[in-house]
Amino acid sequence: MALPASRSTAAPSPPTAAEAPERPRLARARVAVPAGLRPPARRWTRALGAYAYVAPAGLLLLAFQVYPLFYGGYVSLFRWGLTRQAFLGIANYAQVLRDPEFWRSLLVTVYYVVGVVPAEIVLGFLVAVLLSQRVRGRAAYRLVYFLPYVTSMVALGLVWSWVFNANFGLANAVLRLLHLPPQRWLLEPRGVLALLRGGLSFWAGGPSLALVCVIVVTVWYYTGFHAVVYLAALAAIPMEIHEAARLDGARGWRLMRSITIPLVSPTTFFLAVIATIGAFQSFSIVYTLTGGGAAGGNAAEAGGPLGTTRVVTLFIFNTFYGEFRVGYAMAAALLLFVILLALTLLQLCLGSRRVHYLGGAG
Amino acid sequence: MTPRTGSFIGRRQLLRQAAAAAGGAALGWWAGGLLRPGHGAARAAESPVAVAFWHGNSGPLGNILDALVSQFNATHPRYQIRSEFVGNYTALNQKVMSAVAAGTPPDAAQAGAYGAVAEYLQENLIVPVQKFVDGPDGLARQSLADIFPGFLEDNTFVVGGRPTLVSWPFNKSVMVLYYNGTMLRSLRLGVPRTWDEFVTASQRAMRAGKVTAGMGWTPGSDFFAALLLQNGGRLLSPDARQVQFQSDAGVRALAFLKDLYDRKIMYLTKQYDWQNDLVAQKICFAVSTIVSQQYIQQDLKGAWDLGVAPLPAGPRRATILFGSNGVIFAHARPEAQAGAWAFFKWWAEPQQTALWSVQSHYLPLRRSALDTQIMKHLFAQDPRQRVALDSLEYAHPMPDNVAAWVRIDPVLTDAITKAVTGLAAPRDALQDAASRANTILRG
Repeated sequence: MALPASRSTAAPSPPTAAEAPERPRLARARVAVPAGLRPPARRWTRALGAYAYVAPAGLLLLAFQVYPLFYGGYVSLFRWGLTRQAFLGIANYAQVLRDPEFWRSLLVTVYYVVGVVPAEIVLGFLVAVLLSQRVRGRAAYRLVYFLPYVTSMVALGLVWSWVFNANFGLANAVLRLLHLPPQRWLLEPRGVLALLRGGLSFWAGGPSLALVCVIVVTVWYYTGFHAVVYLAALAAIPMEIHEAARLDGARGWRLMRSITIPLVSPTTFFLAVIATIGAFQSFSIVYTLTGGGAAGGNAAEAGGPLGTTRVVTLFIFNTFYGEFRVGYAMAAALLLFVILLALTLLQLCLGSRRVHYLGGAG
Repeated sequence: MTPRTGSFIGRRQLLRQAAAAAGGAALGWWAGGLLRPGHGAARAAESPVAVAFWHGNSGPLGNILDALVSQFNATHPRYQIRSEFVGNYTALNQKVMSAVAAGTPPDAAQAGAYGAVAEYLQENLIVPVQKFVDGPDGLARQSLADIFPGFLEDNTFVVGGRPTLVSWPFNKSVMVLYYNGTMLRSLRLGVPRTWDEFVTASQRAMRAGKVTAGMGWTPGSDFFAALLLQNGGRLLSPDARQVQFQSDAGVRALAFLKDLYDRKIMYLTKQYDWQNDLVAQKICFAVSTIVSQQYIQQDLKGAWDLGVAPLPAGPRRATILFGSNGVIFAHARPEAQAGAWAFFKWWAEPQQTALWSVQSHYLPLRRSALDTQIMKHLFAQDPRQRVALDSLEYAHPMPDNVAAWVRIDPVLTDAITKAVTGLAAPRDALQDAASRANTILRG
């Protein structure tokens, strides 16, 4: 989109008679010297200045992201318990790929991502559309929806585990009011399809009811964040486009489908990418809801019942801290990194074709 | 610029002279220290050897531990134990892992369950305490025999083909039965001594509308292990090369748990939810370690009488030992190792272990502690405290001294959950778990 002329160039003020002889010199001073023609010392000074600006963030990234990544790669090549032992080459990777528990945790993660990401995006968008209407107390509504996101995830996890308490929780109290049979919620390892239809084998029954509970809490937690991002995107759509569409007779759903949704597609794309990465890396909420963190509790307990909520990050955590298999856990972590990288590239590749940028080439 | 004259010196010259003066002073101090006879020894005598000790006892338990550490430091001027709470057992293990990776482990630590000691030993990170027990500041055979045998069994590992005391019993507890004394009295029920009596009492309380179920239970291998032992079974073969929990005794133990669940005498909980349910009188029994008493009493605030009884008996009596042990790290300086051992040895002496037991509800480590005035006074005041001690005669530890157990335990717990909730028959669930466990044991 073209910028207004007033922001792209400075309007020159008319010269006075006294300034007239100076004009050629001023004009020369304003001409930008190409980088290659500048004196080397000045180029170095400018470069050093730039490096100094990026150094704090760059050093933090190097120390806490890049270095651990490479060190993790190094550790994954060894039998590594608490200390380095024998060199194994890629044997840890081969073993992880043969480990049914790893694949099971990957399947649980896929269920989780598929359950969480679309729901967060759709609900976030709907809430944003509602909150963008001119209603009384709009700021209060916005606060209410955003509140979960700024609350401690661990505290929320504990509260929700009370809601889903199988014996005396609120969720079962509601079911009883509706004359429905109580459920075991976070303690139920059977798949929701098996619960609905019966007769399905353990893993063919779909995600366990326990995992569905975790998905519900996650969606509830992140919807506010998605709504706020969508609110900003909705506010950025120029009114003229909506007005022009209305003049052409578009109303309601047609306006939403043809104008609003395409114009917020860059935001949808951005949210889809970060929500997918976030869901793959989800840990705290699953850990808190599914049994980890009890005083004196075994780290390997998290991810129950029967491992049906053991997402890949929990598998890595349990292997690392519960079983002291650091090299093996690192190999699994790097495989997760590769999977995420591939998935993000795929999203970029597929998503960029369907995204409409306002004023851009599309 | 200031002109250089006789009375002014330049910045560089000033820095040079200052550096020379500082270097000279340091050299003089070092040389003086060398030339003064006995100076190093005098300094050692002045400043005690610092021993970093990490533990996992927080709140009231941490305060009691810190008070005892202060007492040790006051009576042992050669050493200064610096105790530091670093989180629960899981967090303690994690922090030790991180410290080992960073090359800065503490001198000594509590090592919680879940195979931590076995892992430390496997990686040569700790010095077996047998070295100190047999050393000049060691323990007489008679003194060692005074320690309850289950605690020594828990800390004995096979090292170089020989049974070796690797870690030192520190805070030990045992599995007991908790009951709502007020409710049982109101229903004219006695304290169950067998599982049959437990079932009858639970059903009476449920029929009377006093509770939802007899007990709540978070599935775990330890309660199953107690029932397995009561049925005459074992978790592992004596040489620890294969598991044996899939035996008929194991199937009977698991079928009993499933029966309790099917008859709604027992429901399943998560983490420590059963503790809240007991306090709220939704259940009238619970099975847990004797130390839970501290937390239950805290929540109960005297609303009703909490009873403690030995674990009900099956065909025979058996219960499970819990708690952590003390380890001494190999990287520690020899004098710090000696300090850590002095502390552990002192900790297990009758007076200290009795004091710790009375205040914390953990068990005293040796028999002679029962003869101390403080314990006699406790038993006279509150006879419940004898219950756990009486259980010690038939208490056994979980096989945490087998490194692979940390990976087998979740497999067994999953099998128990599957069988209890009806997703698999007890025998099938145990057979499947045994097959996977034996694969883990074979490495």
